[in-house]
Amino acid sequence: MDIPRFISTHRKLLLVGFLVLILIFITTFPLYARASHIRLLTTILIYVVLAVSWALFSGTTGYMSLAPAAFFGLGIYTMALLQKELPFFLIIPIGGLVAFAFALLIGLVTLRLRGIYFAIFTFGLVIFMTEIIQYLETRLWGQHGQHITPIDNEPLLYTMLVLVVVTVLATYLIRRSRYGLALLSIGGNEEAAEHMGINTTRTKVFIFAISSFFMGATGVIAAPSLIYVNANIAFSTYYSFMPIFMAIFGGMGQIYGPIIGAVIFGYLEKTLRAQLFSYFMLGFGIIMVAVILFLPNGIVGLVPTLQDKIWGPVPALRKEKTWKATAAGILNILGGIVQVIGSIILFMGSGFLAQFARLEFISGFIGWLAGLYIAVAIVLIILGLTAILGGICALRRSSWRLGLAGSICALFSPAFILGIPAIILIILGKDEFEYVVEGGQTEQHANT
Amino acid sequence: MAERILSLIIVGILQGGVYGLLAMGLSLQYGVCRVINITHGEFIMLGAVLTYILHIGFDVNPLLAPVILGPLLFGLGFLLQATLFRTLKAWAPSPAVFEGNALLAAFGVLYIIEHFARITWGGKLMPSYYLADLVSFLGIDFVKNQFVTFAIALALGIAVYLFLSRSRMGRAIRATAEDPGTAGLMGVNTNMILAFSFGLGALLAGVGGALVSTKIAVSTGMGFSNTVLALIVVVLGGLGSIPGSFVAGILIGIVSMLVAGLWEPILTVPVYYAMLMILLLVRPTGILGKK
Repeated sequence: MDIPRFISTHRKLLLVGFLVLILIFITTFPLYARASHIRLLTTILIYVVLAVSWALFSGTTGYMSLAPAAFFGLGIYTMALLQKELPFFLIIPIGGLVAFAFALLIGLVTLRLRGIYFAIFTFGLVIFMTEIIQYLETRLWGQHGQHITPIDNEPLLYTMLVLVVVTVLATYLIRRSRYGLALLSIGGNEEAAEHMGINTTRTKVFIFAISSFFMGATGVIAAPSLIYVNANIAFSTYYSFMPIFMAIFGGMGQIYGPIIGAVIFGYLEKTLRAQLFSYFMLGFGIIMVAVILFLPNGIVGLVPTLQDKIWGPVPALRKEKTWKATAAGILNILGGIVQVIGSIILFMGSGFLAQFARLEFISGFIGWLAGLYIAVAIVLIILGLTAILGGICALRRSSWRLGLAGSICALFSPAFILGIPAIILIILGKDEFEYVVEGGQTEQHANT
Repeated sequence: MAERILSLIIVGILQGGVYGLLAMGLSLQYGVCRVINITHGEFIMLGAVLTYILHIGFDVNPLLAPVILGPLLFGLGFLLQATLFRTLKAWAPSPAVFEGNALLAAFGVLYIIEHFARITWGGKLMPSYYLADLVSFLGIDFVKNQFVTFAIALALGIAVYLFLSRSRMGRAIRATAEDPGTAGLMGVNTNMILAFSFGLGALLAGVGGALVSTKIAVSTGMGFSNTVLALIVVVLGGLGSIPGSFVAGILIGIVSMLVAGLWEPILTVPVYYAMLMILLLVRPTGILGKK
């Protein structure tokens, strides 16, 4: 069966089916999961909304907002102050509207100017909000921080799910609408967009306020699991960094880029942050710089390139296939499968350790060990997937370089015994990847 | 009352000189390299923390510590521009894209430096006061280090200004800031100049950090608020204008003292923001900015 063709012809159907599967998975999740896992999933969904709504404005226009935390925190504080007066479901849109109004004000002052002023202005907004709230609390209300009555895990998960669906749908519709095209043209060349008759300031301010609305609404839903907040907890730069990092990692060109980034790093954040906070942030900083340098379109940007390499057309004029490259490909795939299984075992082991640590109240060393397990598991799963993809490339003779990369990846694993013959075989079989030009010369198949 | 306001203003001016120095490096980096260097505060932090370590651990005079840590931070800034920002500039399709990418990359570097420092030196407060005894002047009590740090900041500011306006290297830097392409054609090694300016900015941040550490207890988490302060000062003074940063620094120093002394110490940053908002509405180019 020709898999790529099947995917491209039934694209919409598959997408809808996939989305329905995810929705079913999330809605039935509380039936079979532990409470801590439900909280983990809720956190991931919170990051999904933050990352998607950040990318909606900053990813398309190139105006870098460095203050998701300010709007998120506004939502948290709206919840803290209004929880006694109003029902939870009413506070969500109110929190969003507070953030919307605040963003409107900021946008009207700064978005008329060049992007640099906007970035500078938003950078310190977290400190601005912290000081204002601290002033109000200490001088006017006479208290430090606010207590928030916790809400059960399941309703929080379902409200968050609804908000995710609304956010993603709104983002999708905005990107398809006139506004979306206007945003893209502002990102491409603002002066030209203005000459085309787009009211650039109004568009920017409006979309910035919309994206802030979702951040504020998320803050309301995130608030109950914090139980106690003060200005420093609610307006932490951490919540500015994470969504931006996730959106960049996933890639902002597509709507699902930020979602992928949020799912991966939301999971890692929840599992690693407590034990290894500084190492975790150090690593994220390094990944962020590396992604900006080497993957300007995020990992989503990698997909078309890889797709072409792996499933792309293979020229007909090839030397005859022999067993060497085929064997190397099979070895690659086997090695990759061993690595993936190993990483899954490590993930499960870390979950077991985390549970153990919580039961025994010894988070120190066990926590470290769990963190180490997860770090090794991540490396293994990346190596394993590369090895499998390289194996497919070797079987189809579509890219020698990827095949070799896969063999090298297969080397660093419990299955290193498979990697050594794979490397030797793929080097011996290099000529099978070259195609014959009329004069009888061979040339490396240049597949980009 | 009048005497109290006068004393607050004088202390504010003394304080503002250091703010001016903190912002000057940032202004230079934006003016020449077009990078909004939000890691600036982390360089201030490195300067301050290293001064503390040299002072307490090795008994080095904090005012001489920049001699040791200055070249170190200069090298770090130089490397950052010569590797990261240079590559980003070479790969970016347009200047606007470069500014956005550089900002985000700097956001990543900020976390790298901050958490590297936190892993290495922990998060505790590091008090290393120097010349902290009082002197009486015009009937007002001052702390000695306020005068000393102001004098050093002012001297450095004038030195950098003279360097940029008089020396051959300074002329090359100004030419590169104005038009890198033409400067390159005139025989200026622009990549070298960009890296040098960035390093100089980092060095100024380090010296500023050393001065700060004589006055207040420093910590590895101090970078962020210092970056915000420096950014506000730079925008108030006009992006890329060195004398502007100094004037705005002194203005912010006076305002911070008046707000803290007469009204409410927690509200200094919101007051800066109010000033910034008014400025952006009235004169976006800043007090001494051109265009």
